Amino acid sequence: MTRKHIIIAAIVAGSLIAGCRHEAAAPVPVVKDAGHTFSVRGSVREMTIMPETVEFPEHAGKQEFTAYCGICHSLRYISMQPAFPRKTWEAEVEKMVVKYGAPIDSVNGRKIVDYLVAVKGNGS
Amino acid sequence: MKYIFYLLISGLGLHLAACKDVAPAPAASAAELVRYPEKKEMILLTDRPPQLETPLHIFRQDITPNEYFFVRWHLSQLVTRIDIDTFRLYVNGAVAKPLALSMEDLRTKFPQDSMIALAICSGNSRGTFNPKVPGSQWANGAMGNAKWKGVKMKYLLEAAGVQKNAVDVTYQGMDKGALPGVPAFIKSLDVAHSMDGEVMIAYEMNGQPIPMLNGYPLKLVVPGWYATYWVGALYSINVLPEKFHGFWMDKAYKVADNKAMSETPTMLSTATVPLTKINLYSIFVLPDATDQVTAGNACNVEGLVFNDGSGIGKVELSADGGKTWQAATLNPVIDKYSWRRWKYAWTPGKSGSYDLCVRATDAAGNVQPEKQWNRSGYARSFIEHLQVNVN
Repeated sequence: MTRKHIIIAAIVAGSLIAGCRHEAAAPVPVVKDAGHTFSVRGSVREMTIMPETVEFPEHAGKQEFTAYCGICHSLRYISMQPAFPRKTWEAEVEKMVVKYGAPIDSVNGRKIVDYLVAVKGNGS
Repeated sequence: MKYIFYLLISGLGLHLAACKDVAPAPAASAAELVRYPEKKEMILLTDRPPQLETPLHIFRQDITPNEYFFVRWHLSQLVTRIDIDTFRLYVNGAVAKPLALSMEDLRTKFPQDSMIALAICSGNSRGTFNPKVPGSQWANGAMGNAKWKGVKMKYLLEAAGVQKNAVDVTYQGMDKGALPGVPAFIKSLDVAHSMDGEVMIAYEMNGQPIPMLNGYPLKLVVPGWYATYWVGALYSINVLPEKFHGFWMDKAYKVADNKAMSETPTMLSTATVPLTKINLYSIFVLPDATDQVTAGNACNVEGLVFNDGSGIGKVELSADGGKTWQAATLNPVIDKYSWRRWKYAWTPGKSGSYDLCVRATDAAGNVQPEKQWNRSGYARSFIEHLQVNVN
């Protein structure tokens, strides 16, 4: 082992000890790297942002939810939300149609609301 | 390098296994750290458009480094390529002489100014509202304190020659929605505010070009106002002879029309007004979850306090859930529109669970409220509590 490896092993061991000492310690964060890029070439600055995919449960309406909601924003907008009552999800879908011009008709809108209630509903 | 990566991952795996009695966090609050262009480890809220939160430990520093500064966009089509040699900032509308300014023009043809100012998202701390409200579930990390350098709007508008009938000034970024029906991101300030000698077009943040994710090459700085007005990737300024009625002014970012910006879920306010000035708020930065606090020993309790720049009167700390309060020490003012640090040396007498609270009073004597709620989770001002276990 090189000196660098020894230092890293020590850091890992240290984090094991330090991390378990307190019951209140937060879950260990894992740093994800989706392969985004950034460059400066002369007068040009450029970046690429790769998608951070998220898995959603299988349930009726998933196809409509994925296809329509994913047009304007990633589905993480939904995975990060707490559970809400049906009326909140109805208001959210209506907001997307009325205020942001989402091309969702009433049939698909109902399917999307049902899906949101199924995966992020709070039972009320 | 790969080897090091695997070693770290396996170390983390061991760590998880060793601590597996810790219940997994619910999906909505599990912090995922990511590295985005020009950024270090940030908390991922969303990726398209990107919304990234600053980890709390960064707030131990008075200035938030660019690579940790929070990211928040509304529209998914960001500008991902800028040639600064061909970029122009346009000033049009009710002016005597429309302008098309290069970065070189901005740096050489106008007086240069700088200030340290707090940028804070209107929805900062939304995740702490009870009952929960839809929207990005930020903790306290949708804010940052930076040194902004650029040109005061006053000088640009003087150079353009604002016509006598001018009323409003609109500010538009280069980002676009995915569909034509999505309203363009345009904010407005009235002419008097735009010319108040404080509103600034920044081309530099902490001595560096503004990161692309924070609005390179130009960002509007509206000191003392919520960051929804701090339009990033700014390229178009339009002077209007009438009041502006765009979506992002008339429909979005509205709050209950009362001083506390508060309402209840069963009694929603019918009168709403655009959110403007930063509300009085104070937060804890230390101790954090991994700090050991022991009875009989001084614990460094520390945090930040801020409002719209009108000044902070005092900060007080309670270790008994708000029954009794003691004065904390305020660090010197950093800059008029900067946040300010407070400190308190706390020596808990015995072990147990403590409910710490921090509350600020502004220079005019207004105190943070115990309770506040609004449907959009905007402008948090209610008192923060921190549960601390003392060994």
